[in-house]
Amino acid sequence: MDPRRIAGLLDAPGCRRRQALDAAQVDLGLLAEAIGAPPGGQSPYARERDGTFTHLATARLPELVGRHLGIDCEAAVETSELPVGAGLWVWREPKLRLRDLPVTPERIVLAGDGTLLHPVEIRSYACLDGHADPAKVAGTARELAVVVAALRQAAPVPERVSSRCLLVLPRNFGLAPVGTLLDVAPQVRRLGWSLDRLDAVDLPARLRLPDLGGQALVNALAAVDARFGDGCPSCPMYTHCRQDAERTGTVARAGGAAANLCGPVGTAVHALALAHGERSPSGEAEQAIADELARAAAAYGWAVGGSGVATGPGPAGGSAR
Amino acid sequence: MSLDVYQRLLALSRARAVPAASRAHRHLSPRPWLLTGYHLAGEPSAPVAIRYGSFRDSPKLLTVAEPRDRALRFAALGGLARDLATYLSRYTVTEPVVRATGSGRELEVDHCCVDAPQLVVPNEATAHWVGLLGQYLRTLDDPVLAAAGAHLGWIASRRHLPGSSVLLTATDLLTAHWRTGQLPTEDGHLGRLLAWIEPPAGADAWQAARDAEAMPPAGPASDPSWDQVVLRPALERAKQQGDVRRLKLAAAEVLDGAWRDTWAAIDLVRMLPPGEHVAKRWESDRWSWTRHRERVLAGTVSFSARLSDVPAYRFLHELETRTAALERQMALDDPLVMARYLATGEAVAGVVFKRDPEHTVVNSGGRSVLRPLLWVRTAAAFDRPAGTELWWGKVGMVVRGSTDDTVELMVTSGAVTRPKLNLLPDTDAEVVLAPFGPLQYFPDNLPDELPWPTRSSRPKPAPEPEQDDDLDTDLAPAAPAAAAVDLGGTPGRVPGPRADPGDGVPAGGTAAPGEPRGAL
Repeated sequence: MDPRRIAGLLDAPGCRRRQALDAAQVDLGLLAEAIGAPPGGQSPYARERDGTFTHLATARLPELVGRHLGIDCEAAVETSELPVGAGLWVWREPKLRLRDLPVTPERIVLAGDGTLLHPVEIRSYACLDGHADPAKVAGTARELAVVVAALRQAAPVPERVSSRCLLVLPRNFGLAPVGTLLDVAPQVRRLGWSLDRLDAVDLPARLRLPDLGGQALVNALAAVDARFGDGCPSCPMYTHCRQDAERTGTVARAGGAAANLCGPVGTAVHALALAHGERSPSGEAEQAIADELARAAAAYGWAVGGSGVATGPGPAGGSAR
Repeated sequence: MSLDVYQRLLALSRARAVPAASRAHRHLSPRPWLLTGYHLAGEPSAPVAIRYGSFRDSPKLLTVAEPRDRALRFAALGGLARDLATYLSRYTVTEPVVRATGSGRELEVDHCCVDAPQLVVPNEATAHWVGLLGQYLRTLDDPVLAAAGAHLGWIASRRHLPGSSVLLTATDLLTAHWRTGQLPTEDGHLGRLLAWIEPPAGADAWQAARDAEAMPPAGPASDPSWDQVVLRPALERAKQQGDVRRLKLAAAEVLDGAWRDTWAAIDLVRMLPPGEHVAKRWESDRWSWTRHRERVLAGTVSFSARLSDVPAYRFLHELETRTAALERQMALDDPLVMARYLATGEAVAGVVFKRDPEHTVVNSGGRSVLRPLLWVRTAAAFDRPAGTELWWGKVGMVVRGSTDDTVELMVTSGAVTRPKLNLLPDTDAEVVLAPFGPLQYFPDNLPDELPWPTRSSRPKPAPEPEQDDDLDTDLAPAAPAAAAVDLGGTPGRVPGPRADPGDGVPAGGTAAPGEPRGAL
């Protein structure tokens, strides 16, 4: 699995279905086909730009590494194992492991100063006036964390792999490379936390079956609980879980804020019945939720000029305009 | 906010969006300039196609046969720059305005543009792209392109100011006035939002939203498979045979959806009566446009990537003032927005059941002053402590105490003299007591230069040597003519581009002294 996929674990904390998906190393292509998800992919133009920039940046790496990490080095040397000493190395298609998961990045660039090894990452999104898109940088940091953690697992002395990475981006609107140091230690710690939870997932044995595909795969996944939330659109199971949530009318379909407010009250119909006093709350927690929602319902009813409470569910409400 | 959640749940169970506002809270120009477009994947400075204009039925379409070729890109963007200049030239008429200066005792006549331009784009990503395009254009040597870059820079800078309507996004227009039952991140998809608000007959919002996802994206990033299957052959045909018809057809087809959806969003919000304070907020946009024009004419437009200490303080101060003012104005304009404060318990709705207009207290000076009392019956308990200030229009009061269904209030301002007692609410009147009073003004009294050191005393790292970046990704870098032009262009950037995100923030001496900032 590539680092991006493992980093995706951090997008959907607490979703057991997502954890099972990754722990069982389900083939995403098969999965997309099974649930009828729209095809993803990268634009050919983005790929070309990526290739051009990687090529240009690789040629200028010694200079950038010297400036930001203070390491004097020559052009990058090919390696097929974790290097030792000082220099700059490219390790193509390393076979690494993170806990039990295989980690297979296309290549890892490493800069060593004799004691520490710093990963170097080349990306092609622009750094404009010293600012890069924070969402993209955060994504890169999570992927780098996977690489750092996997390298530490492979290294005889884990501390020798530094979490201070060099991120190389194109400057402004051109292709001149510019480097920035990025410390991914927090992401490494979060990843460790997520992986600990991953070990605790008791996978249904059916998910481990080889050649699992089509409806059987979807059924096996559906047997594991999902937690729908704001991070879901980036998950491969998104379109499937979404339809699930729509069918059951779960509160989480409306986002994390709604799910947090409603707590143990699972469905929108139930929550609205509490809000409109059509159902008496059971227990203290439901009472608190009912009070909060009833006040909102009364305020909404007052504002739309209704009779104190808003009209109940159903299109007959007519106030949707 | 519990009302927000309640509305989302209502929308979810009805499979239809629920109104979140009953007034339009954004100014809508009678003649906005719309822009929707695609850029080459990963390269915001290389537009592939842009559809723009102020006429719904006759948009202009710009296409670039080879987006990575600077000459072709300049030619295409030159057309856009001229059309933008033509549109902006409609907003040069000024009117004299008398305003107070100094301590407010002297009057002076100033001139303000009677109207200002407005740019509407489909989504946040396109709004961000407009800023990037402006930034890119400002690095170019051509005066027409650089001027367009300065204008786009001003337009994009207004986006960060709460309450400004110079650059509107269709998704923001809709989410400010409706609530859907989907994830908040899904609200960023214009097609999905519209499907929730106006699902086609016979379809529920879920199905309509899924259908909308199958349509071409609203940009500025295109669908990768469209790039591969449609764009690439069309671009190659345009490049090799000089035949741009196929490219134009393909671009018109994919941009049409976003174009129509953006107009549909404007139409939906136009159906709402405008909020009372919207014109006042637009006035601040008009002043900003007037000052921007003055700076353009004087050649002193400047943008900076980062604000230094005092301008940064002023910008934050303005953001805070504007945020507070916008919340207050929207709540006072619109009962549906006020309902949010009722739901959280910050505001109180109820019926006056008892009054004591003759109540007096002895103030600290030993004089007896009129402080009328009101008792209000409420539907639910008011749980804020005694001493909480509430307002009924201009009448200010403090809470003296409350029970499960009553609140006792003492009027402290607005109606504390006998001639003004008729301003108090009558017995049996329904009142909403809001946490918003008359506009509070927090003067900004930092000196222009701080008397203490604000920067670290560490020496700055040596500036990076000027590199041959910004030279773009020419497909044919070997072409000597193009390279020569590029090298000539680098030193000739628009002088010291400095972006004031706030614009109203005085940058050096260029900003208007009297621009009504903060005081929306």
